Amino acid sequence: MADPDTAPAPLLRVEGLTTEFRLGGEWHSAIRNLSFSVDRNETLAIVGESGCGKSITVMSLMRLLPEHGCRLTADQVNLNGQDLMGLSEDEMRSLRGNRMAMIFQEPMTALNPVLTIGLQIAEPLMFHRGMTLAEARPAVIELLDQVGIPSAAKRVDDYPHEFSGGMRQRVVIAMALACDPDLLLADEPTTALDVTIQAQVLALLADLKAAKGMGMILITHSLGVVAAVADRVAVMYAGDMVETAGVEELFANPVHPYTEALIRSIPRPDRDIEAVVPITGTVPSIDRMPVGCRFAARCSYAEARCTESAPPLTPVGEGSSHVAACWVRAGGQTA
Amino acid sequence: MTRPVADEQLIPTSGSPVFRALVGAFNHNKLSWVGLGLFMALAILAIGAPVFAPFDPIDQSIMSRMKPPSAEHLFGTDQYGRDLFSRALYGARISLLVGVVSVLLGLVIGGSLGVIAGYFGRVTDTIIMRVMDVMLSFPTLIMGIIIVALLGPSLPNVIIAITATLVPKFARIARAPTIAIKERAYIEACHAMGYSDLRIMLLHIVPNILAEILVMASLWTANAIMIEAGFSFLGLGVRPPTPTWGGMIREGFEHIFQAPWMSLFPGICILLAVMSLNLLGDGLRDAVDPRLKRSKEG
Amino acid sequence: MTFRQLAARNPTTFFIARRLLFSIPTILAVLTVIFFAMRTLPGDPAYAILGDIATAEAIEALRERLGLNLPVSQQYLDFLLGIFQGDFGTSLVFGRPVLGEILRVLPFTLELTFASIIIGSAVGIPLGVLSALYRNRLLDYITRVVSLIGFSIPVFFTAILLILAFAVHFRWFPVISSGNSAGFSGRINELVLPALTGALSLMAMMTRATRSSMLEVLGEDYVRTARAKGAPRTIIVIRHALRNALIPVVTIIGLYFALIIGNSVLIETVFTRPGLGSLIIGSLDNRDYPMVQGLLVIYALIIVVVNLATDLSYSVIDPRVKRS
Repeated sequence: MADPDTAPAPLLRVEGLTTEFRLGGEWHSAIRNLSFSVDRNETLAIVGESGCGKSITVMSLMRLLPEHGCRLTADQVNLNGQDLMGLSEDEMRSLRGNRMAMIFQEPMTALNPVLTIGLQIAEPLMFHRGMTLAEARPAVIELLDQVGIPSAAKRVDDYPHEFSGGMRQRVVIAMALACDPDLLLADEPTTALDVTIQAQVLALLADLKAAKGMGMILITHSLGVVAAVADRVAVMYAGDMVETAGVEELFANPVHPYTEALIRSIPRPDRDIEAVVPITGTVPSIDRMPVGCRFAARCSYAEARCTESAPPLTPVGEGSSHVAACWVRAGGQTA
Repeated sequence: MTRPVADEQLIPTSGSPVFRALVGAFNHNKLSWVGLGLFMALAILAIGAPVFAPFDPIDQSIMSRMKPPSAEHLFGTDQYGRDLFSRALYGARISLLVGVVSVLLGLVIGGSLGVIAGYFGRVTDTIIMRVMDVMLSFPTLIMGIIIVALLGPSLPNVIIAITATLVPKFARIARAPTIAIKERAYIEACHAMGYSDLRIMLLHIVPNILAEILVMASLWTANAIMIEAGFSFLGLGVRPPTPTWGGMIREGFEHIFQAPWMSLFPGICILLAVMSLNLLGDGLRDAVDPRLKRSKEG
Repeated sequence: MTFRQLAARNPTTFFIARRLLFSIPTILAVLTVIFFAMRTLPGDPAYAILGDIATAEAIEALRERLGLNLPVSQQYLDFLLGIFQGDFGTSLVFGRPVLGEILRVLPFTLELTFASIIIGSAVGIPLGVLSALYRNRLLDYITRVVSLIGFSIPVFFTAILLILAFAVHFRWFPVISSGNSAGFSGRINELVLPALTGALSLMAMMTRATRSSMLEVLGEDYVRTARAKGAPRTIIVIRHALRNALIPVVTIIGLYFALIIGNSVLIETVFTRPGLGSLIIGSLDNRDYPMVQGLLVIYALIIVVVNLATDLSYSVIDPRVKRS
């Protein structure tokens, strides 16, 4: 738990996080120099197209990436006053599922088909609190109840295939919450679910976050989800964080052309379908990254300087919490 | 090629999937090269046995009975003074002949039955596959032993017995992909164009399932060689004095204490032949499997 | 009580009963094939059994004893009824009921088969797991070479090598496994080499199957979930990966049961050991047709039971497999 003396420090502070993969003998960065922070009882949404490095970011925080062919560097990754970068695999393991927990995209495959959900939810308590399966049982039933699984006491011995997709995601959430983590990392938790179920699961996550005062990082490609649950938003493009702002500020005043394009690409009932502008082109692949701004090739505002060097994150307007990385729109000249 | 151009356009996967799969396998897995090389070497030694063999394989020589391996007799000699290296070379002929011929026969007969069962379905399918199921209700070796024992031990009967054990296996692996391919749009197009059933089966179904079948054929050739050796070891194979690897081990086993080399060398020969085919088959399977999976999904 | 209620009350028994019911047509077909195959053999069985020197009276007497003078339809019905009543006919060699002779030697073959399967699995599964965990490292290469050899070596050659090493050189175990040894330890002592022989090929197959199955399972999402929970490595490997990886491996054991039952012919011959294999070889040598026929029925029944057991074990190991 956090020391009350250092209360103003955020729950999670990440500075200069870079993750590289080796492809054909060369190292290529999948995410580059990311800096962000999450407070207690705050939800940071990370948005972007698929392949922009969102999942790599949370997998890097959890250190779940493969040991070989993958390299992680950062100035600091500080959780609750503890720098994670110097930790050994065993020390990281004692944090995973304990102080920091993760929810995955695919509830259909994230649960082990041959183990009861009771055991799977009890496991974090067994690993981190030294409980036996029998000792953990009341806590497991309590957790199932909290995530809204009806007649929890009866279902605790059921297998994953006996649950629907939405119910399985609730099981995955219960598993992540077992040890009351400080930080919850949710990787597209609703993408694989039906639309009606999506709303229920998002509401559940928001409630639990508020009730337990957790910090949460929510990865999504859907701005609808962002609008519904996020406090702050970080927009990622091709491994760079290109804009960060409070959720209302971002929707009201998008600065980076990519953010603007993302917002314009959402169909809205109050506008004609013609007003929806899809983003043309695709994210450049990891081994063919351009030198300057990585969005330049798809950007309608691009100028010559955009392809020469990468723009830094620059504060926008008077609100110091809104930053964007764009030579043209964010007045990056000062850097 | 006298096939009309339309055929080529109708069959997206035809071309020559077998050839591409084989080439793919060899680029993919170096061990299949080792397997192929080893098998080719054995085949050359078998075919050229009269040239390579330093002695007549059935000539007895009382003077040199049960001699351990030496420069003159590489594998030593047996209880009749016969040169075991020469016998092993001739033995390779029987092993490889039985392996290759019975697998080819099994492939043609079983493969045809499987394609016919899968293509026509209904009663044809039920009858053929029921019979195949019955044949598969006995352990392979037991069925082979009974057939060869009842027909009498001879080279053709050994081939018949081994072919009989292979037919239901080939039928099974030919049937499943046939059913899958039968449902594809281009086969319906063939029907619409009035092609005969025989033509559709031969030109449009067989080329598409052949890669999968050839992989199994190479693995089952290894099996057939093992079974033939088992027959000969039990005295149910090709009659002495014709040398067979299994028969040599049988004779060697009777003198295991005085002349262990008599059974060691033919045993190593069987091991090498079977291993070469397993290496080849494994390599082919690794290369063909993902391809087949991809084309099924696509 | 309806079928449905019965099924709900005891799903496992119901599942077994249903599967047995479904295998009846196959068993009937097998029996029919056996019957007609034995009767379409070239030549008159009585003549074949007695040989050229037999007198016409002797042949006629044997024909009567075998029931060969009855109409074929009558013979067929008698045969089927006999099987279902446990009457498999009388052995021409032993002069005793076929079934009794078979049941006398059956334990030896089953003992050999189970021992081979236990040893093969106990060595093969851990080796396959280690091979997958240390993929493309020295241990993996050694394991792969050993399993390739184990997979390619004929059983009778394995038997001879084991005899040369452990019976002749070290003198730890007997060369001959007569089945007459007194006491449990004597019986085990005789079983070691034959069981190791049978185990080698299964071990090779299990190693290969476990390895490839583990490699696939280790890449599954639920293994990542387990890591995200902070699971220790041993728990990840054994509880989360291995249980799933074993599902396809069970099929291999089922297939291998049939193979080892077949291979027991060779193993029993090398070790001069009693069993189904020795019995069938002897019966074929002596043209003891009723015995051969009875053995074929037993082999087919064993295969049916093994297939049933394989399906049952799926429902034990994989909760997704419904038993109804």
